[in-house]
Amino acid sequence: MDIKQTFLWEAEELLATISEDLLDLEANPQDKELLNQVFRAAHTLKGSANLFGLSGVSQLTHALESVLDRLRSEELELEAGLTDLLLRGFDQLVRLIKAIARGQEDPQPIPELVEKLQELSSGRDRTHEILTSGILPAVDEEYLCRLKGTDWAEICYHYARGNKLWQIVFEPAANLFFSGHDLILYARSLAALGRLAAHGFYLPELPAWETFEPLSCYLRWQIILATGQEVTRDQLAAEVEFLAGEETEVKLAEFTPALLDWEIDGHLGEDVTFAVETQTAEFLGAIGEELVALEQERNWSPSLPEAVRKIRADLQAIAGKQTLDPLAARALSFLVSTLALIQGYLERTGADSGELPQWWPEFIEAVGKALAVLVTGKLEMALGSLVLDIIELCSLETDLAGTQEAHAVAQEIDVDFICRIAKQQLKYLAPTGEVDPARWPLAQRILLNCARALQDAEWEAVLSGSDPDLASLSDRIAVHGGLAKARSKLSNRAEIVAAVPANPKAVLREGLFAGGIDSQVTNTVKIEQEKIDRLMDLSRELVIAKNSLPYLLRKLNQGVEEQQMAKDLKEKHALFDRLARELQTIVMEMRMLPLSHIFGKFHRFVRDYSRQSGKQIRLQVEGEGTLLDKSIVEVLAEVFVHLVRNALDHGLELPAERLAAGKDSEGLVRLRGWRAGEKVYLEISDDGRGIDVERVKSKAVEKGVLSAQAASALSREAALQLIFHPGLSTADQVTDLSGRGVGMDAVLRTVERVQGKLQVSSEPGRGTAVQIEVPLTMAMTRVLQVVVNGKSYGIPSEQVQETVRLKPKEMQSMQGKTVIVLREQIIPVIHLAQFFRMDQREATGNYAYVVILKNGVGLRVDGLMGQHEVVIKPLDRGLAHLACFAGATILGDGTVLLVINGLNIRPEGDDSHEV
Amino acid sequence: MKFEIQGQSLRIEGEVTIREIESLHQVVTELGLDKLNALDLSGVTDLDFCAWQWLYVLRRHKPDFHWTWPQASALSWLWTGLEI
Repeated sequence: MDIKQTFLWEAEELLATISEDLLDLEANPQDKELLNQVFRAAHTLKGSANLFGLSGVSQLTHALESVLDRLRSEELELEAGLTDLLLRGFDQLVRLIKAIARGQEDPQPIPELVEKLQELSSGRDRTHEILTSGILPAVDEEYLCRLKGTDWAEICYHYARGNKLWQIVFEPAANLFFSGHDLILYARSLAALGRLAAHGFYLPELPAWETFEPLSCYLRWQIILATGQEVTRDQLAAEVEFLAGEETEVKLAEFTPALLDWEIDGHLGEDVTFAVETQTAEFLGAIGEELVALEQERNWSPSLPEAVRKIRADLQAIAGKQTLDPLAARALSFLVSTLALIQGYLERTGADSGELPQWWPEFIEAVGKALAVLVTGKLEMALGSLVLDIIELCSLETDLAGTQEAHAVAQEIDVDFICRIAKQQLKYLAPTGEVDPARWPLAQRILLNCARALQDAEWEAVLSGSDPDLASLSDRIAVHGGLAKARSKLSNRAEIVAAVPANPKAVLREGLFAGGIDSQVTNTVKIEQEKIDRLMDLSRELVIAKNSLPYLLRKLNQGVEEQQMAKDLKEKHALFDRLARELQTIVMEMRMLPLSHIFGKFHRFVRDYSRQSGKQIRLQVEGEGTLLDKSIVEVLAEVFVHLVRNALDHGLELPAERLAAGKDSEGLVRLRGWRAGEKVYLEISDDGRGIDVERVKSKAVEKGVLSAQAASALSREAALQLIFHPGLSTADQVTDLSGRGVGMDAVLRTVERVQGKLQVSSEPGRGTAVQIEVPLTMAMTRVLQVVVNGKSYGIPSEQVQETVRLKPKEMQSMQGKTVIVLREQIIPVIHLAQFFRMDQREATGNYAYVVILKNGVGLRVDGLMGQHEVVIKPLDRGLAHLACFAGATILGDGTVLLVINGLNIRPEGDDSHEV
Repeated sequence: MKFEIQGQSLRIEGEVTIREIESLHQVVTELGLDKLNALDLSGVTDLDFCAWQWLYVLRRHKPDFHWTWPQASALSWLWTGLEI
């Protein structure tokens, strides 16, 4: 571990401690020692940051330290607003440390936050004003760089109309969905205050489909909102501030006229010219000649698609050259897309087309001409001829219009040219100011392509009618065409910014999206010195044990008698066995984390929730030192966010309601953890209103889950189980806080993923408790080895209810499906050989074996081979999509055992499985 | 929400939310993305952010699907984001 890594690790630890201490300090403001402790920790962090030249971390820590110093000298009081500000400051430090861990050199804090802290420490008497004003971040230029040309057109349009413009950026935590937030609802409440001028979604990294977890949040979202002048920043902040926390960031900023002027007339204001290297120009010239040859073709031939593909590949290679001017690269990219359109057409039509279409020579000539013009460096001309020619060709020729390639071409096209074409079409449609209906079909097709090219769904909607609405069409063109000069520059600039690596904004953007979201600062585990010492001892013992093996070998070579050798081997085996077990135990312990990793963060969570909701809440945590496997802790951390949120939002009542019910105004949420044998139990309970079972039942009936008659016959315990049914929520309305999160069904599935069980109990008026039981570790799993068609498979013993041996005739058929009747229960049976689509062999034994899983399904196998303790490794990416396998392991004799995930094997009739 | 697979086309209807996304994802993954070539969203009336993210990732993986967009005009501003 290098020294900077050590710093990051220590910083993370210090910040976690500071956060906890600040919460304690809020409860005990007179505790001077605690305050000194926080101050010292901040001071240490600042010192280390200076050593590494981290000016951003140092500046923010210094500002926080100064405020803490004023608290120490009692010039400030630790009121709730100040605690909020300090916590936000330290949250910001956590983000800076994470950014450094992702590779950013010297990330800077939000200037506004630093300014507030500096002003607080300056001693000026504005404390109240500072603490009551918003502390959301300022404009984020890196995200502005992500906007498309069309977005800038909208922005300029609203700017010209005198609207205020705001940038809102959501950077959600991965567990956003578990906390019940739906960003669409936030966007809609923002939209109610104005109009969404533009928006964009960004993925730091596209997850592979096989590893994509739909309940994890990957996306970031930028919204540009246009509002009237009367809307204030505080109004908007009130809509979104609730989302901001340690892990989720929300940025809100107003576009200033200066910012827009800078974008319009700033450093990218000069006319853009470019030069193509001589060698590249020669190559392009040669390609132009090949195009001239293609232009002469009149009939389809098998070599034609290949010839176009080759030209396209050559152009693509040039477009990818780093030395190429970005605008030239963009024009080439446009040509490449155009050739892909032609190639796609040729491949689709195939040999049966015979003669090439009428537009062929014209189209190829347009591409060749554009290429020739490109070599001369006259980009505007190149784009002009291409756009006008190709858009019309794409629109007029039904063979090309609407294809994916045509769409790709459209996406390359410059906004201004499209607006110009659209205006031409309007003139064509209404030459005298009155619409000529006969011209509508043609104009509609071309305008639709323009709308699609600009990704303007609203325009597309206007065009979808059977009659043209000239006013609406003009209005949409005006949106893109208003502020023509500025927009023309901007749309080009946005592309240039995206393409020029030397551009500082582009570099910033790369920094922003480096690494994944919510990357851990360190993926390290703290290990006690005692365990390291024990590991060292064991490694020495292993070396000594290993040294005895050559001695045994020599004895064997000398012809020692078998009995003596067996005895010696047995002794050595016992020694290695002991060492292996001890090693395993210690290594397993190293994987263990205390439950405080799950429970710890809820002190802050509950405090913030309490301040925002007006509910009085006491959080009681017990057993947070209980150890549990790291991988299980990570999974359950998400589950508890949801469970705690549920308890706070649905369980606990407001103080008045509690008092009316004869309860203490302060509600209690209790988190407990304990170990019993090889299991660990975690429990969350509250003393709130409890689950209204009758409402659960009526919801279930309303959703068609069961009949009213069946619902009324359900016991309270059985009715409670209905909350695990997908899509069943009792929340009457979707609020900011809940009703839109993952359901309890997802929580249950997550718990089952770590081989856990979940139980819920609830009493009306007295509260609800959810208890989770998980294995101590997932590193070792017990599997039942079974044989199917001579091949061995494993089934996790956790999933097995029992095994039965039957005579083949006891297998019965019911509606074409195999079942067995066991203790008067019908159990569907899946023949694993059939499921795996193996050639079925004749059963040779007198008995059939059925492994009955806990989900009530039986798996028929040929034989049972006993149980083993194994380490299951996940299948690699090529096989990872096979949900019916949990992974694979290697047995003592070296054979690979595929371990079946019984929960993903379904009864016959479901043909969707691919094995 | 309802969804059905007919041939190589997946059709989704109604309000798509986080509560159905996991099962939808499982069905599509088990079937295999390569077994689909069209996504018909014309019957979608609303969606939440989780559902939107799922469509966005699917769109990034399979831009060449035949996509049919929803009719609901209230959603049009969102669909523009799917044009990647």
